[in-house]
Amino acid sequence: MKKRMDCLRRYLGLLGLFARYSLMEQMEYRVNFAAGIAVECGYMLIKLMYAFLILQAGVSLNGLTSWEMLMCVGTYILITGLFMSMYPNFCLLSFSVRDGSLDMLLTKPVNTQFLVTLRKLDFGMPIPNVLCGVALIVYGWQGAGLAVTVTGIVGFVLLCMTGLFLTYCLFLIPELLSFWFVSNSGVHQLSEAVRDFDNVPMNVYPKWLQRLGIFVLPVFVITNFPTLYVARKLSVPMTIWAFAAAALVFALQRLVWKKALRRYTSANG
Amino acid sequence: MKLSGYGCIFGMGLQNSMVYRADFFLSLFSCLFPVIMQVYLWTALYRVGAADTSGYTYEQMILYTLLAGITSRIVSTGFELEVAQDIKEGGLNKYLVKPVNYAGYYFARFLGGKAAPVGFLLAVTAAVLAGASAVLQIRVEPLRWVLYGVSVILALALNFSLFFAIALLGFWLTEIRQLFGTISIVVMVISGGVFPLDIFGPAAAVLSAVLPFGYTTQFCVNIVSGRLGMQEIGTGFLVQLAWIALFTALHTVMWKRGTRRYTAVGG
Amino acid sequence: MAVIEAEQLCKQFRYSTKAKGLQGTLHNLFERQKLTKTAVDRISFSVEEGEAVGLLGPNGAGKTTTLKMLSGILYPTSGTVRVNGFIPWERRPEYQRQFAIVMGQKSQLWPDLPAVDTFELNRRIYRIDPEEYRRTLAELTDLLDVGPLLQVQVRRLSLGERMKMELIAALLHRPAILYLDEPTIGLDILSQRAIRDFLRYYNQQTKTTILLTSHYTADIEAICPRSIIINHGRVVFDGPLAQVSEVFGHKKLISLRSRQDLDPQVLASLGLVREFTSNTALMEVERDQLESCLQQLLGRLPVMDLDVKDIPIEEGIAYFYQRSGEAAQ
Repeated sequence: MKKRMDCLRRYLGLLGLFARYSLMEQMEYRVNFAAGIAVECGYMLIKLMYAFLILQAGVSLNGLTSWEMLMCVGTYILITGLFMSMYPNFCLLSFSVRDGSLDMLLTKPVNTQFLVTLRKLDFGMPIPNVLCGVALIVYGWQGAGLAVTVTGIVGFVLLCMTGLFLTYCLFLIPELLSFWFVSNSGVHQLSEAVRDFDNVPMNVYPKWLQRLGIFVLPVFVITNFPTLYVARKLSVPMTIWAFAAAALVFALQRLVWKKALRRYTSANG
Repeated sequence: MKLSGYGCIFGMGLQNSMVYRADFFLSLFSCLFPVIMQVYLWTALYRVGAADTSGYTYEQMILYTLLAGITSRIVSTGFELEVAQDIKEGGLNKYLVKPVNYAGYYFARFLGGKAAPVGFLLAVTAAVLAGASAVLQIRVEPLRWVLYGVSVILALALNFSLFFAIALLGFWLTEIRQLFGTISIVVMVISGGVFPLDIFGPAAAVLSAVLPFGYTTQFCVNIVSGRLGMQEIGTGFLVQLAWIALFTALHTVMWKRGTRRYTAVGG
Repeated sequence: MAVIEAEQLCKQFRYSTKAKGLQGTLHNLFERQKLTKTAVDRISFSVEEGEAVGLLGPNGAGKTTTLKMLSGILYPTSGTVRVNGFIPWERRPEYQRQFAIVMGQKSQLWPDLPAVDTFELNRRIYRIDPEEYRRTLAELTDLLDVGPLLQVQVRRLSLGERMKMELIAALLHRPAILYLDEPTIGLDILSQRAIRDFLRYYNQQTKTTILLTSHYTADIEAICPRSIIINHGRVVFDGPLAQVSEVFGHKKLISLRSRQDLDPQVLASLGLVREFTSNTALMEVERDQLESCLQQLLGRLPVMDLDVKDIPIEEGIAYFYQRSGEAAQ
């Protein structure tokens, strides 16, 4: 147990160092840092367009009020924002595989996946998303007239964290395909498109698509479950499924990761 | 460089796009997803009668969604990353010493890369529209299809010159590469690639008429959907041409200033 | 005791070809030919503790691939390797703390930060005791003479300075084994010499086992008492580099300069003429004929300067490169 804690402390320390170095690096390129935030704001505009359409409609759709749907969109924006902080590593991965710059990372006595996927942390891009996401969630929560309880908040946060973890695992897998193929931009685009299904709450979709997005490719778990939980519309088995799905996808992702490293050919850049 | 030279580059672009065969089909496939999502959203909203869409009928909206998804894919670029990479890592040198116009080179390659997907997309479009018009009972005059084709060709040129100018920002912003994905999505949205912008009120409608972006997608699609009269279409073509001229001038100036400032980063 | 033991080590890469032109592309869309390239072909060797061994070979011979398998970056196709009892590609932290790899073409430094920040990161990654870290860093910066540069952003350093920083980053945890892949590539002569001197000193002082690849014979001569020549993925020579030219041991080179123009036919009757200008020549003769040849030269020609040499090492190396090439075909 003590060993576990030591290990955790060490990795958190490393993460802190990565954060510090990344921030220092980004401060070297301040114009780009600002541009990153600006463009991310533009991105958010798209998501707000969906929120606007839903709120403007102002009706209940398949069991969710428009306020609750607004919370779902807010959750999507929030989790996407948090995910954006590690996103640079995901983008870099296929480059590093192709030009062999992964080499040095593979020789370090720390968990390679930790090093490869969390080494660069972005601080600009999450800012607008997190602020706006939280604002939408709070606004929707109030509008929907849902009770503010400790269990509600704890459950919501816990499910959001599970969602973030799911996002990390789920969308790392397509990036790992770059170990097999020269170019994985097609898969990358496809996975982005899949993630965009969360732009609107899942109750907009027909039942078969909802089941697909919950049980097969659990993207709907990420952004709908926290709100459903707070609105008391999430059954106990479904709540358990949220965590089970995260564990399953994590196991799958680790499997692919290990297979991928075996395929690494270390090009000479 | 002679025209045949650019023809050869066009051929290389075509080959490149097909070597990555999996990519090719997957990226085409992925453009379906947002369309599916939007169709469901509109269907759900129209069903409860809750959509205030400034005059778009359900049929028009679905047709718009389908066509905008395809059109924005046809005009989309992707070379900007390569251009900025060339600028940042010194790859530009090999073009500076060749008797080739850099913009011309990329335009030829851009069109080459387009040929296969566009051919495929046109087939998809025909099938989708045949299906949609049967289901939704929409009839579109053949003349409007011809005009649509013309507008898409102009939109390609416009989007190229627009994104080439953005790519050349790499001369001044070295780390701009990380932003291209986002920029292209934002441009797609303000071009009307997701929703017609005029549903967001009169201000948005004015902006989409004044700014260049709408002329790469929304304008083209609305020729087919019948929202535009013949006179508006004519004006639209002129505006497209004007923006092409403006952005070409802009990236020519940027190129001149940029290369002067450019210092190759040695290995 | 052998630190590194490689047996029948083999690595193959698979790749697909593309026929020329558009037609080839279209064909490729549906069917691709898979080809296999053998980068390392059943290599066996062992390295003793504290040894400094040079790996030589032409481009694409499999040197770098071998190093990458030893450091666990690549999985081999077949064969076994034990380094200090560890199988490298299991990538166990216990093993990873025992070695370091420095590649001339690949950096582990964060380019936008001062080198000292990467060092601090490595301190945490390798769990180096702060006190020991301070001592090692002081020692290494002193040896390599880069003290004032620690706080300078890496991308502002010269290539030679950067390589010195790479070495420090690699040696902070005092690895028992150091793999070096072309550490002097692209450096100017002074930087090359500084790195060379440092590595030799470090190897002798700390008894760190070194395995080094380089295209510069001077690197190998300075650092490695023993060399392994690899070609077409196979070991074709193993021993002191000086012995490489022993295949030509029965031959000597005579270079001479004369006061008057030389007659090529007279020279040709005495030995093989390699180079010839009006009054200078380079000749190759059998060792047992050296004496008579010299007598004749000195007797018959107005010789101004004369020098007898061994065949240079490079020629011996080139011989091994070529010979194994022919053998492979």
